Amino acid sequence: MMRELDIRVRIFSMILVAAGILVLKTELSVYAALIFAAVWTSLILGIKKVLPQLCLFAGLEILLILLKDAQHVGNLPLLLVYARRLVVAVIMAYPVAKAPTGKLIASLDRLRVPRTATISLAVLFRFMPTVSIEYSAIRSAQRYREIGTSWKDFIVKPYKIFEYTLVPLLIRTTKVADELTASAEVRGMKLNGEYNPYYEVKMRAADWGALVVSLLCAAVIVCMDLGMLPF
Amino acid sequence: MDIIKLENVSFKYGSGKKKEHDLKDISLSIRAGECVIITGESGCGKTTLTRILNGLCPNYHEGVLKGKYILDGETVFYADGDKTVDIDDDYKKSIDDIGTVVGNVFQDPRSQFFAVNTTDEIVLAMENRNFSRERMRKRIEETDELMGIRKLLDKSLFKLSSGEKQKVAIASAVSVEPKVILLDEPSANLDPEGMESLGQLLERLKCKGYTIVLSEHRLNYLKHIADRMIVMSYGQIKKEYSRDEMLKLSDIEMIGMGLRVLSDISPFKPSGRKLGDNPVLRVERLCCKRGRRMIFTDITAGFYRGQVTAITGHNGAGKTTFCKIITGEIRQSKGTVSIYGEVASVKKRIKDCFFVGQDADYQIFTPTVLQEVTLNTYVSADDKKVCRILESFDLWEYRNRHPASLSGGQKQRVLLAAALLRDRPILILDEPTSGLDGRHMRIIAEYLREAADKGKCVLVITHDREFINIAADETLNIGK
Repeated sequence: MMRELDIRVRIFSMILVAAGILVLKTELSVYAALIFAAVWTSLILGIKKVLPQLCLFAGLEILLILLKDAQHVGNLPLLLVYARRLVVAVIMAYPVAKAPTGKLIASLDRLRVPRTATISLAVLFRFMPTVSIEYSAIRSAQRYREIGTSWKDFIVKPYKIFEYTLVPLLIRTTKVADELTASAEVRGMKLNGEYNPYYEVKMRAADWGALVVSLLCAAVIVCMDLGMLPF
Repeated sequence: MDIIKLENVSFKYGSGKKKEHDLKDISLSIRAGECVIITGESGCGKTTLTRILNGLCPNYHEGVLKGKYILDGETVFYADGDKTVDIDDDYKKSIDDIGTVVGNVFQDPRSQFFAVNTTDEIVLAMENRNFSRERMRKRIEETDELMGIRKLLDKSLFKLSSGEKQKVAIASAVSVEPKVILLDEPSANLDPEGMESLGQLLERLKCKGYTIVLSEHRLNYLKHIADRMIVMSYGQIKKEYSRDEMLKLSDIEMIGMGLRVLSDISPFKPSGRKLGDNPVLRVERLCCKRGRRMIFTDITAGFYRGQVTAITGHNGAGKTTFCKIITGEIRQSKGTVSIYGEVASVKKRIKDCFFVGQDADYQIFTPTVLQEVTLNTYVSADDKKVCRILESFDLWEYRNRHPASLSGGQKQRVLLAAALLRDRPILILDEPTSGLDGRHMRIIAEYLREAADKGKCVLVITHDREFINIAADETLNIGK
């Protein structure tokens, strides 16, 4: 049931945790937020999606413990403290990022998010997976022209490597943007105009239940942070 | 009844300062239910004509427009005599309005897809036109009945084959029930089986009453359904052929017009041409596995100097993977790659091979043709060899131009020139004739033959049967 959780509930919970995680004062409440985020995301996407982030959190935690009394490390411990919290926010972002784009756009539309933002988001989700493919294709072509094939190139002429990567990337990006816009225009995409999403966005009883549970958990974590609870 | 009527339409991109028109005095009528092919050499104005028909010129691609266009009985634009069409006063329809009558399928599915999921892509136009959900669901059912798209629904677009992507693109266009389907080189990325399926699909659409207008180079898969063929040249309609007239055109006449042939391509016959008895390149029991999927297995073959070998196979068979193993870019799971009789390391393979990819845009790094060709070669730009090579590729006059400003065929020739200047023994090309007209396809075949005659071992990944018959000495089929 949680796998079909309404995307607006996912977005709301993500914002709730992301906003709260930065201001929590006690470590206990951060751990509680982590547990909530891990359970929440596991129920929606499965435990496998959460494990890498949990490992990352554990790694950062270990590093923090090791550097606790270290000298000459500057602000690194403070950065690690916030990096761990960021991992919690990323875990909460996963159920939103992995939602089908069409359903995500439909949900944002119901939330009255401006069309400029929803179209931009759709393009972002569409092309983020292809950026690495585009970059690989460019690096592949560079090999045959001996560009960036030696570590000396990166030390002696880093600006050239940058130029030879940026030029084809910009050419491709411009061409794709041009063609995509033309394709969108002929299919009636407009910034101001009527639009009816294919996916119906409707809150079920389970969605309301999940929303209440996430609010309750947030309340408990805040009370814990304020010392209002015995633990 | 004429669904499309153009009268004395002329168009120039930009502000109109240049002398030559991109389209000159086009008058054309297309009846409802017809299938019309628009063809011609690259740069003849086919794509510009399709952009006039779908409204992208001048609304998106700005320019100076003259003439009259009537679509489905309604005026799209009209300007008297030699007067220029004023976008605000004389242009009566928006791109969106035109889009309700004219459904569009562009050449490259990679850059026309807006969504990640197939269903999202198919419903996109319907969502933007405020169809009710019930109507959208009904249209998906009807489109499935017509095109058989059920098994393609709710799939990731990244995991589809070229043919499946093309099908989704057509389904997206058909979903809003346009009267005209306008396709721009839809077969460019398809293998022969894909082209045949596309031809059958277009025939079904025509039987359903859709008017089909295609801008195309590859023509023989359309000869059973086309009612007319319009040949363009230098922005003008050179000649119109009825179906009977079109079918009577001989190969020589088609080649004379710079076009690809209409007749069925005869089976390939190996020429036996090669230099020497020992292969430059040899693969033994080559296998490639990715995860659980076996891409290909147990390939053994030799490739010789002076020989052009066409690497063929259906889309997804592993042709590009095979060639990237040869160049050292990908590691094989089993087997060996030998160059000049010795098992070649990855470093040696990269040093001895030059790979020209399908998309030239990934392979342009410098601001001039001269710099592009000599990049990292340690050959001076003043060297006579550079001049000779550029002249032989008809690129000398463009030597100071940015390669990105050249046409697709010219960019391809820049990369070939760069390959020949490097003097590596093995040259591999991926679909060099995709999207090329007959004349430029034959020019590429000539260049590859010259490269082979000069001692290169040339491998070409290609679906293009006409090109294989002209250029190749041998073929190797991957996947059979």
